[in-house]
Amino acid sequence: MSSKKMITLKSSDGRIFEVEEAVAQESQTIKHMIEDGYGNSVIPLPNVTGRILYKIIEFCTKHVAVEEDIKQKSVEPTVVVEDVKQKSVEPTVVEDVKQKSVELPVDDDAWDAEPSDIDEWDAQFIDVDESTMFELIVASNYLNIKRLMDLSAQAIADMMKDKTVEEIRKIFNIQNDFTPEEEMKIRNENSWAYE
Amino acid sequence: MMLGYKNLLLRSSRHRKRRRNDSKSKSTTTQSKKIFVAETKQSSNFATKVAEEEEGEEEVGFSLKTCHYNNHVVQPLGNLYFIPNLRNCRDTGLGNLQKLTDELVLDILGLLGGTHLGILSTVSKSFYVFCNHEPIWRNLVLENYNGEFLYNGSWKSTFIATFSPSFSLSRSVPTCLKVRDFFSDYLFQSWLCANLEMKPEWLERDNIQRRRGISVDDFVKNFEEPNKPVLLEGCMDNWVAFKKWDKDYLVKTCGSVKFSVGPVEMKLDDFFMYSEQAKEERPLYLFDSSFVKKVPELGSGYEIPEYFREDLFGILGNERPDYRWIIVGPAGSGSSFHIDPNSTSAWNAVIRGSKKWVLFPPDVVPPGVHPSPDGAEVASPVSITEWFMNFYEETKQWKKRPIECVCKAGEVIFVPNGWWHLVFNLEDSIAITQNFVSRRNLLNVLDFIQRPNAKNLVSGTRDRVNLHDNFKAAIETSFPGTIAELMSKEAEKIAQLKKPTFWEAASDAKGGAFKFSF
Repeated sequence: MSSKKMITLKSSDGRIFEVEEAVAQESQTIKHMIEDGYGNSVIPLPNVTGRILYKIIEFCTKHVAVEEDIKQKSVEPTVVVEDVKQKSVEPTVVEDVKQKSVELPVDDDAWDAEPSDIDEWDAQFIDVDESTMFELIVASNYLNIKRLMDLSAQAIADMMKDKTVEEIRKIFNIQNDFTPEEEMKIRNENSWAYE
Repeated sequence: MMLGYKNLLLRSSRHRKRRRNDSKSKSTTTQSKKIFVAETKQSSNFATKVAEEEEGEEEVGFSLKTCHYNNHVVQPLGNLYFIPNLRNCRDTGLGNLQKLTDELVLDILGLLGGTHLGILSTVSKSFYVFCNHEPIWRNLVLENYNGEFLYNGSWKSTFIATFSPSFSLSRSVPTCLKVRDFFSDYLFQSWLCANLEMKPEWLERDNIQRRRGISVDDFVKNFEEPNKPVLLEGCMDNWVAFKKWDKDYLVKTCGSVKFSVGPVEMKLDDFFMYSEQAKEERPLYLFDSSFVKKVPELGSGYEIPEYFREDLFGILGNERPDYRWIIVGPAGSGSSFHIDPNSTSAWNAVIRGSKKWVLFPPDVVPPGVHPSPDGAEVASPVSITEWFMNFYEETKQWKKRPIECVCKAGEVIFVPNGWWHLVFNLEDSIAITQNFVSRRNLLNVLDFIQRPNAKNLVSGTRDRVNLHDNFKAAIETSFPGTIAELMSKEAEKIAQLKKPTFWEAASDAKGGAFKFSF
């Protein structure tokens, strides 16, 4: 119940991350593990490197904070006081975690951003090199974080739009495995798309 | 029977395995190959041996709807190991994307428009195969053109024909490249489910009670009150629908009327054009709750069998939830496991064709099916064929076996409230179904529609939040004292048996879905 409960995650390369339960539960995979009773020990994530897990925690932390913000703004006045109390507790928790010298990505802007800026924040977040993007989509699929899966899928889809075939092959490092005859046959078949 | 798509207890988007449809190209090759499928120890992976067809050679395992190799057929991953040193062109053709799962690749491609996909098809063999995945084109057609399309052999062809009619007219047969070295379990499974015939042993078990000409009292005492399914014969003998309704009649009567088909509305003509050609894992299914309003003649083609005439929601008049549907679907269409909403009971009359039914009682969650704790969402295998392939066998060892039957033209099945059921059209079928509330399930219904999350669970009506209060008030007005009487009878029963209420028991079962034993 308390938002102070921390969950310990371990990446494939052995790095340890301590995150708030609410943040960890952005991942349905981790949420189910917690529900099954594994929340009190280290949760290993052998499919996710430390580098990517760091970014994912950053994403989840941001979105949890934004949701808290929204909730706070839409509750009855009588409840606001408690929420504010809760919110003012969070920085302390962060510091505690820092003192324990485990890694926790802290985005100073996270606490101040308006919900309407979240799309911009997301766009900046996903503006990374392709290989990081691919690792993010694979990891968010494994961890089952829908918002991040959707964000990265859309980003990759956007990379494919309005490009020539040659450009796509270059971007994704794809060998053309058609014979010239095959390629001509297929281009003919799809010439409607080139109009 | 309820729409699989818009109502309560739907399959949620978090499918265990997200499968989309596939369909075979129409072109044939001179060299035809039969596909042999043998089960491995793991229930969901199949190793396939591809062999040249010889006269008199027997198929092992499954029979497929056609024997012809799809020109760019996908092979399951296991086949890769039969051939030493062969690379999977799936991976080489995806480049840096090869680490993504097939599902992720398809999710990404599903975000693109038709022209993007057309261009991507020419990037590599792998992209060619992925971009020809029929479900993607089905989504594009339905999203972009709603029901305004003429099915043209495949969803991709249909899209192109609608998007670029001049292009389509200048081609006679769509050409297809033969891609031989593409291996993927996901895409193979999808193709397999789209092309598999029902195995005879899946149709063997028929353990439902059958009755003909019983009295209403008999029915209520032996089936409705104890909440047991039954198949009733002879109820439709006088129906105009039973005598006259077939595809030709319907086309003549209302071919240009739009009916509700999944997410879109389609002219009946156009729907039949689709259903005659389509071969998919999950064919589109026509399910319309306004058919009487749209075509009054259809309403007079049938009458409610005498057993089901007590229909208490009727007192709400126009405010009542949706309650009657005409159902038209090709062989292979159907509804996967669900419980009908609002705790209503149902009857389903097959006018043409035949349906395979599998039913589980309310406290037994079918294998492979995972309802959320509140019952609002259900995750299950995407296709019915897949359920049969992977989960049907399990039920043979269970103590609480499902009730199964094949319901043929002229027969009416009674589906008691709360029962899980799956329906599969073995042939092109036309049916009528209605849901109802009688005094036997009135308390269950009231209980159900007053639940705190009623607005998520209650379906088929605009005013979900007030349905309970409105209905209860209406009952008290029209049938004063009924509710109190039923409640005291129920309290007596509970005191005697010391059992939880109906929905308490069912909820417990759902919440602890893994409690059942093998």
